[in-house]
Amino acid sequence: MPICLASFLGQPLPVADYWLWLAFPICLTISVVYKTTKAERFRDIFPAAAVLFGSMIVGLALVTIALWLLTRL
Amino acid sequence: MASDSAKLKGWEFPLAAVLAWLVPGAGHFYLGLRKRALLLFIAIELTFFIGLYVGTLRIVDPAQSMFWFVAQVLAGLNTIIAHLWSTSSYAEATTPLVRDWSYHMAVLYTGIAGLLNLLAVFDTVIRAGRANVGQAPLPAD
Repeated sequence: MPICLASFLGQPLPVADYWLWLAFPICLTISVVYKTTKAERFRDIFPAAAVLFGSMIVGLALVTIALWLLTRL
Repeated sequence: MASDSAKLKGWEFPLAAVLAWLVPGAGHFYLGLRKRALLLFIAIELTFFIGLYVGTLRIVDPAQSMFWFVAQVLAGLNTIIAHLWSTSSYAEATTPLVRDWSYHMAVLYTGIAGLLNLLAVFDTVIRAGRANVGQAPLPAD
């Protein structure tokens, strides 16, 4: 079992070409955990987390575009 | 197991906090908030294991980055296991450690998993304390 785990977690993924896509899962888990601690009722968690996730992605995209434009000036 | 609306004894606060640190979501489970506990467990462990999958078990190592190791330790028991494995002679012999994009993304993921668990620990203590200071408990799941 430990050897299987080591072989599964033993080689780094080559993420140099698509590391930017890794922003999506981390934004998703951050928004779910944050809203799990903040929402008063359990059923409010998922809609609030979806809104926060969308806001984070849009915010990151806007910052990315702004910085990209800044480097082009 | 305590209930969210029940008054906790003095020793149960540190117990709930330690449980919440050791296993993400365990503090909420102790308070009787099982759905929230499951959600926290899945989200935090998923973040941590995506990090390990991207960067290998070797990334949990204070010799590489003490700052990020402190953040990783906040993720609890799985960090300690990963650290023991990463510093073993077997791992050093078989698993390469390359400080490239994978390494940095993996350290970021595992460190953020730890910081998210810190948020869960604080939430456990706050929820546990509401009943004791006379405030209305938050609704159960």
